[in-house]
Amino acid sequence: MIRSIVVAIAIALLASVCVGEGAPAPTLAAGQILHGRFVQVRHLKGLASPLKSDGTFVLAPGSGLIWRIEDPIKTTTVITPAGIRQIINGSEVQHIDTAKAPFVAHFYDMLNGALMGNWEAMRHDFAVKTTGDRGAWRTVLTPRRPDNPIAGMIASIVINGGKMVDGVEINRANGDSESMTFLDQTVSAAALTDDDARLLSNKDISPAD
Amino acid sequence: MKIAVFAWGVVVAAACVVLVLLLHRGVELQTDMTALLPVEERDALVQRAKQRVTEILSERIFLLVGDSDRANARAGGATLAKALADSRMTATVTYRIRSDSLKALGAMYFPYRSGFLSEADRKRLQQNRGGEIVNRAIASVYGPSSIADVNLLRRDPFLLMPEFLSTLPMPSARFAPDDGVLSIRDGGETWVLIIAQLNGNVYSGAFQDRFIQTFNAAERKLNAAMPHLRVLRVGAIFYAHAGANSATRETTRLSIVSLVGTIILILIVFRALRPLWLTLLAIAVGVVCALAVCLSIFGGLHVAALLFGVSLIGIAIDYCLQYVSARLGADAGSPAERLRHVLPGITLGVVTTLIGYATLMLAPFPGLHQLAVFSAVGLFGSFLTVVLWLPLFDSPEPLTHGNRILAIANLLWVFWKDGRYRRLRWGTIALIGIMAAVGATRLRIDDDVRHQQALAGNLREQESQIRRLTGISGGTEFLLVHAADGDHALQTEEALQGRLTSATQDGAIRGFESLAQFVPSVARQRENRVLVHDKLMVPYLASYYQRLGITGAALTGAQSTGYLTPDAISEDSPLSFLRNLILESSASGTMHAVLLTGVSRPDEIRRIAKDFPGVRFVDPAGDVTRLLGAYRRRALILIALSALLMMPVLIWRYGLRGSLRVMLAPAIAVLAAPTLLALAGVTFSFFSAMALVLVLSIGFDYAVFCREAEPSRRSATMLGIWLAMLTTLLSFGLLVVSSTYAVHAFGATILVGTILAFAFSPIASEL
Repeated sequence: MIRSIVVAIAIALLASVCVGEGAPAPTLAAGQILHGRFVQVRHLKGLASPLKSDGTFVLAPGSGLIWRIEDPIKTTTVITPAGIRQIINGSEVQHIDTAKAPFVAHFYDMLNGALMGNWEAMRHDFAVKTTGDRGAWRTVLTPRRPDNPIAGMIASIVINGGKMVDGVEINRANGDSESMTFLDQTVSAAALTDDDARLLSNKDISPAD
Repeated sequence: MKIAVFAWGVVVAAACVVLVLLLHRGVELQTDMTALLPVEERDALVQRAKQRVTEILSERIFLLVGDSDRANARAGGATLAKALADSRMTATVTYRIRSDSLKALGAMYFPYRSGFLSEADRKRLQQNRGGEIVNRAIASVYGPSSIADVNLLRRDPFLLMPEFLSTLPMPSARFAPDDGVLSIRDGGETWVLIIAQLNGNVYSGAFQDRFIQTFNAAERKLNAAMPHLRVLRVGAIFYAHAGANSATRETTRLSIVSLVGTIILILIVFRALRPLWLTLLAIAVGVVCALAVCLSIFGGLHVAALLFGVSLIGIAIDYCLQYVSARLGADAGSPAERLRHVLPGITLGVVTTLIGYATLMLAPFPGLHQLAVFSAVGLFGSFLTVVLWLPLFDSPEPLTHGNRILAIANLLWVFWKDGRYRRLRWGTIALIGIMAAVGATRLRIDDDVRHQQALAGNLREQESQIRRLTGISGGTEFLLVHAADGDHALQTEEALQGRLTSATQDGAIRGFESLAQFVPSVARQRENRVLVHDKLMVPYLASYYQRLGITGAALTGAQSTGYLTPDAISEDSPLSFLRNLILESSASGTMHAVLLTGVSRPDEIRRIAKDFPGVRFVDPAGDVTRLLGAYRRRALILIALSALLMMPVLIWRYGLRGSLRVMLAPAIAVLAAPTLLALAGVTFSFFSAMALVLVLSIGFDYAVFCREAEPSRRSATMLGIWLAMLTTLLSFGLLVVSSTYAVHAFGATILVGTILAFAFSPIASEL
């Protein structure tokens, strides 16, 4: 179960920076930080209306990802080499330690590899196909072995972008789907804010959150 | 006399016949070292349970196969796993795990889902903080990591099941299943895990040899193909085999040194081999009698009792040496006269030694009983052979070449009796007295069985590496939970859980594994259902569904009304390892084990166990340690007791004053040997105490020989004592070089004790 969660995170993460093969999107260098806003729309079969959420994210290679949902419920999810934590109203409601679930670290490694332009780990599970040019490209990931529990939940992942990744669409095997749109993305070399640094350093959770 | 000689011939012949018959029928030599331990537990149920857990733990091996190349590590793991499975020496080999193991786990729990709560969620509901769970569920559904679909949300609205599953304390939690194989990546290295359960007695020498041979062959083949591949192992069988191996190597080497040394010694002194043959004859007859009697009585013999018993019979060499030394000197006389000279000394020597050995019967080690009978019978047989047969086979001619040797041998006597050395004597006594007194302040008792054996260093290194990588460690301690039925046992475990968790946080233990962590008791499941219903579903479900846009009610009807019980864990379940924790389940009661790892403060765990009726802490190594302590004390009492038992014989012969003089040298040896060794940092244990039993017997022999020596034959007596001392050092003292600490301490005690007993023996004489 946890693993599937982590897979989904890893894929979403990879997608959000996208360094697909042939994709001209820039990889992040050490010390660079990607800030941005996201809008996510999730279509679950059986629900009359889709689940829509939006918020901001911070991605720091080597340190981790902070995913802040602002609407409909203020939630912070932090993924670091040390584990995954979910914080609501300043209190931690979920904590998966790498020590107890080392595959978290494994996927973190995969993410970091991808950020550095190393797609080997990804290729093991997915077929990667890119079309288009530098200005507008589209990458489709399809699981190589549908019986593989890691990739088995996913039917396909479609990533499109230009200079940056603009959107990701994840189609699940069970017919559900979700799309993420990334806005206002900026790459900066500035230091993390104190709050973000504290979250990523895995210290006590921020009271301001 | 002639009749006695003949009668002894008949007895020895009969012993030979009996022995041949017994050997022909087939005799089983016991090699299982645990058979030497006393049967201390009276409760058969508990005893059986303890034995099962100990067996399960000792028969389990963990292997990690690692290489910088993932493919190599996997190929190596697969080959090794296959070699183990094909060996017919394993009950199970776990290498490839089911790719659907998570699904299988989910399938087992899901029908009973509202009975399971993670510890944290249970606390939240108990404290009316259900809102946190609701918020977490909403965040999960919207969050970047959502896996929830409507199907799941209808059956498990608040996603309690994933939470419960993710907090299960799976022992292999640090491993990630990588393409069907549990793997760990560490640095550039990929490690794959193999767990196997052996199907034989890991303490049996034959099984060890067969298994290790197969294992090593497989490892060699792997390394030939993949030179960088590394195999880490942990398991009792590896330690046991390494220990037995080094013991065998040592024993062989020491026996050769001892034998060659003795032959050279005899040749130097007698310039003839006949004394050697006579000595061997006496020992051989003793051993034959001992074997025949022991096998008839016990129906078998432990190999340790055999080896140690032969050594004890070896003391008979002292009596032979007294007799054969009597041949030196021009006035030696005929064989019968020589015997007459030494007979009083060796008779008293045998009587005191027999008293010493017989007291071994009083220690409740089964091995010691065999040893006591074996050594007493053998010693007596050897003695009779010396007295009845040796004069017959001996050469009538005295040996006249030995005047210088006799003079040298007599020097010790001169040292003690000549007025010139008065100061030196007192100086020596004072020096040894002071050293012994200083040593006494440093004397440290150490009964810990883990310190008595030599654990192969490279295996220990591998074990700590495996622990670092995986958290798996080869613990042997556990809690036994005894209850009227399975559910009460689970309830006890649930009550224990809180205490054990805080013990883990305090560092008293590194971790624990209990059935209730995975399958809560029916009582707990019922409680959880009520909590979920009253504190979560009733207050929150409607608004929660409305918020997500789910219409209709939750599908609670898809849930079973029954409860999950441990029987549901099938043999191919990812939780099948839990099946081993159920030791006994019958009308007479249920017995579960709670395994503990890294117990660093056993007393704390014992205290916790005391607070729960039906729970007891089992610490096999600690039990043996306590046992060794108890028997060390007992052995010391036996030494005092045997000295006391010898006194009547000595008083009858020498009077009170004389017998106190005779007792002086053995007493000094017994008291000063351990304290002098303490100066060298040798700790005192049961094995040292057993050595003192021997030192006492030896000391009395030497003292009695001196006391009985006629002035004209004194140098021959002293020569006999010299030779006895040297042969003892060659056979026992050499054990000081052993790498097994128990054997080393034993040898060191004999070494120092025998030298002391020898050095002070002339004091026994008032002449």
